[in-house]
Amino acid sequence: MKNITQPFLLLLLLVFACRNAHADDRDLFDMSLDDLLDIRIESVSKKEESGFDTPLSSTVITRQEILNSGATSITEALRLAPGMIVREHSPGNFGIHIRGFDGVPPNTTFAMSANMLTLVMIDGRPVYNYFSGGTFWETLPTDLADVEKIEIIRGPSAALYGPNAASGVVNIITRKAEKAGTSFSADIAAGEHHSRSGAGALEYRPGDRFGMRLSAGHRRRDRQETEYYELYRDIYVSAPSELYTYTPRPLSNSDAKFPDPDLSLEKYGANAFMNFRPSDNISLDLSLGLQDSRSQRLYLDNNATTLTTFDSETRYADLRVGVFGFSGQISYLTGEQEPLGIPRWPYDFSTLDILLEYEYQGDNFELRPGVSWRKALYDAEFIGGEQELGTAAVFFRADYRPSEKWRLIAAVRADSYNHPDDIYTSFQLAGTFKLNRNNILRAVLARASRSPAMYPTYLDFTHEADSDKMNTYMEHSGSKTLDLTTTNMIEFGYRRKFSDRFLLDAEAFCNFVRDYYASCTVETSATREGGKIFMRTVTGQKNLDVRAEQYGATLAFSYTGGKNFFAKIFGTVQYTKLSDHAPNRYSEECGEHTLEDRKHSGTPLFYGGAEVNCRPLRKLNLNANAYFYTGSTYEYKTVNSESGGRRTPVFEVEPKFLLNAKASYGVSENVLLYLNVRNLLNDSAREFAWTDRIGRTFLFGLNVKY
Amino acid sequence: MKRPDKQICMMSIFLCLIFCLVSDVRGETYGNVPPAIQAALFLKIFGLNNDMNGGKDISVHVVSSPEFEKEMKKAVGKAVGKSKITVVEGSSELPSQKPSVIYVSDPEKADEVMKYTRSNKILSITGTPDLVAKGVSLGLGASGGKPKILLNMPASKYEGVNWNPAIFKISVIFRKEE
Repeated sequence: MKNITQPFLLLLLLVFACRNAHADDRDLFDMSLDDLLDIRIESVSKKEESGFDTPLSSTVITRQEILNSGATSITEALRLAPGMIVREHSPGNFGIHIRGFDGVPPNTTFAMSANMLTLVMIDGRPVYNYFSGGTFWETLPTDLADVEKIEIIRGPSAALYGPNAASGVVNIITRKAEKAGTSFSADIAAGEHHSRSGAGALEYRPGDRFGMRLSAGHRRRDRQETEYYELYRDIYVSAPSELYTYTPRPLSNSDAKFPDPDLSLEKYGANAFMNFRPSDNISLDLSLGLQDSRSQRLYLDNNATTLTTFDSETRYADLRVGVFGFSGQISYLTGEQEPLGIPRWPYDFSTLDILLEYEYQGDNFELRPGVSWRKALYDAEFIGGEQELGTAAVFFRADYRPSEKWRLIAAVRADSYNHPDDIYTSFQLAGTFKLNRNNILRAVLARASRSPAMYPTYLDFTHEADSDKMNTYMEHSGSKTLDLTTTNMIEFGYRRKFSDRFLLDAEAFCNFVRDYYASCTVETSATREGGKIFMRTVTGQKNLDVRAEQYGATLAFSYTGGKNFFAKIFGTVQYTKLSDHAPNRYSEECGEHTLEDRKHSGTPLFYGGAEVNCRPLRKLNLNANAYFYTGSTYEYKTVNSESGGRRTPVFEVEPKFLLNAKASYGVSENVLLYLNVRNLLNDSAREFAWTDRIGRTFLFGLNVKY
Repeated sequence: MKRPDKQICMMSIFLCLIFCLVSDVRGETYGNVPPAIQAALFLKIFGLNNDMNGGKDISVHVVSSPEFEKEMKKAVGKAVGKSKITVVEGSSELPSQKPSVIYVSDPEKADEVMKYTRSNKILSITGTPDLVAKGVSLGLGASGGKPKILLNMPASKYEGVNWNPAIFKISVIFRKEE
């Protein structure tokens, strides 16, 4: 790791500066009744409970912590939680992994480097994208202004939350209108590299029963460099028009593919949230929203460079109903998305999710049975028109507390898919043993699978190019019988309260992942007829032999000194091993199918973060937070190279230490000014393979509320 | 994975639905509020009891809940309107002397405590949300990630509690007992 003395000294300096803030701390008895009723009580396993007692490995990032930290997006805020690998590929565009498995399996396309094993939800509504799997973070209609808190659960959790929670869950909980009457809030910020953001919200709450919140936001980030990496020649070029594909030939339609080389991210979003409580036992929550975004990010292989311009326009509706112990949720997402300039790839899509569950609570146990149904429709040329992926599921969860010390949780879920025509079972067995009020042991055994996606299932794509000297024919097809990638995990945890203020949270985990799949060459030939060469390549989606094993541990300390001081530090160390990996995935018929067992270095050996927040004066809040990781390696697929042969590009991701700082000053009760510095030390190492360097950025902002 | 018969899946769904239909339909469920927050909240809520804030000493008896007892003892000496908390004591039994408030969290002891509070006109409080529906006057529960005040009106009447109307605006009101 680079010199880390300086940043740690800065953090210590902040702690020192804040030492008196702790002395001013008020305890709970000094708080007003309104403040006490506004205290957040952390929650997991779909039930409110003390954060100390939660059976799973989880973290809650509160709205206040996000505001204090200066995080500029939901994705950046995830750096405040342990066990998260958060890489900024281009300004504002992030790759997120829970605990690891980045770049598994190696030697595949950029699309496969996306995290397909994490389920992201907004208020329990899955926002998983079924195009090729994963979450398109920039297409979320909500942004930080709408976030009340972010719940993160590490480890397979499909039994509780549904498919794709194979490595964990990120659940974004949105804000509700809370202040009686009409209120308004706005936040604007601007700074270097044409960075700017603005968000406003209007709230109306006429009484205890009804509340409405309307919000809208815009964010733009520009790239801090103009170069693009070219895979074929292994060089950086200054403009898209200079790019060559590894076919090789100049990149066609470069102006259409990269219409705005300076732009990294621009997004607009608007939402309406309505909450209605006609009685204590009935609740209705309706959310409506839309978004429009353009980004240049790592996404899809365009055979030339790492970045792809991606457009998205989506709309959603989400209705949640609670009637006595029953709860139901119907959500609908539709839109159009397009990786620009790539023929046959624009697609329209819609996803409908329906969930019904019931909670029965006994004296010392709780039962939660439920059913869910999902239908995803995608219409695109590359998959042969409109195609459907459907899931029907039944699940059951039991929470039993045989004594004050013991708690046992069992959850099981069966998902029946149309493709593959199969039923997948996920489960979660968790137990906690409370040694005493300050010490708790816990253990989790879990299994979860990801769901099928359109690209690997329905891909139906042929391409033929003919010239006097050469005829090239390529055929790519999907498979409806792929086994779904599945994670098994065993985890042990220990939490200790050294005092009411000082908490230790430790966990050790083993993850086992199998049934990866990727594109494999099943036929390749080159023949000469007369003076003309005929090249033929056929690929198909196939399950891979490779299996990944991960062993790791996370340690987190937090210290809460009331409202005026908070500090935490956390880190994860992990080791990932691959078995039966095939660097060149040709079929056995091609005679190049070799398997190897080896260490996987795609995930940093160590990664973590730290945060110190203090309020030395009533109107002044200071925050410094750090995120760091050791080096890692990304291994791309084998491609043609300028030298005439084939090469397998490898990128060594350098270690990085990001230090951020934010100072906020309350000019009045309703107006807050702030200075926010991201990457204070200007560590501009690329955070992922051949992506953008992102240096220090100063931002000035204004927050008002009436 | 071998493919199980889809009929098993459908049967499971059916059984779950049947289970739901034959189960008791329960009201909204509340999680527990940490003892430290409970103690601070109860101290404030006592101020909304017109019989308690007029200058009398307030004594709290905690039945079988050492964690809450420890937190509540931190409130000794603190003011409630013109009154103040003078004594907080705990035991697994009912008090030998009549206190101002009794805290109960054990469902097995709730009936005994409620019988005592009603006959002696003492305010009963709890950190076990379910006990409010069963007849404890005042409780705390967590819902939506925040503490809620749970107030049983008939039980308050039986215990002779004279609430300031301000509490009704911030509480979840139970108008009948189970």
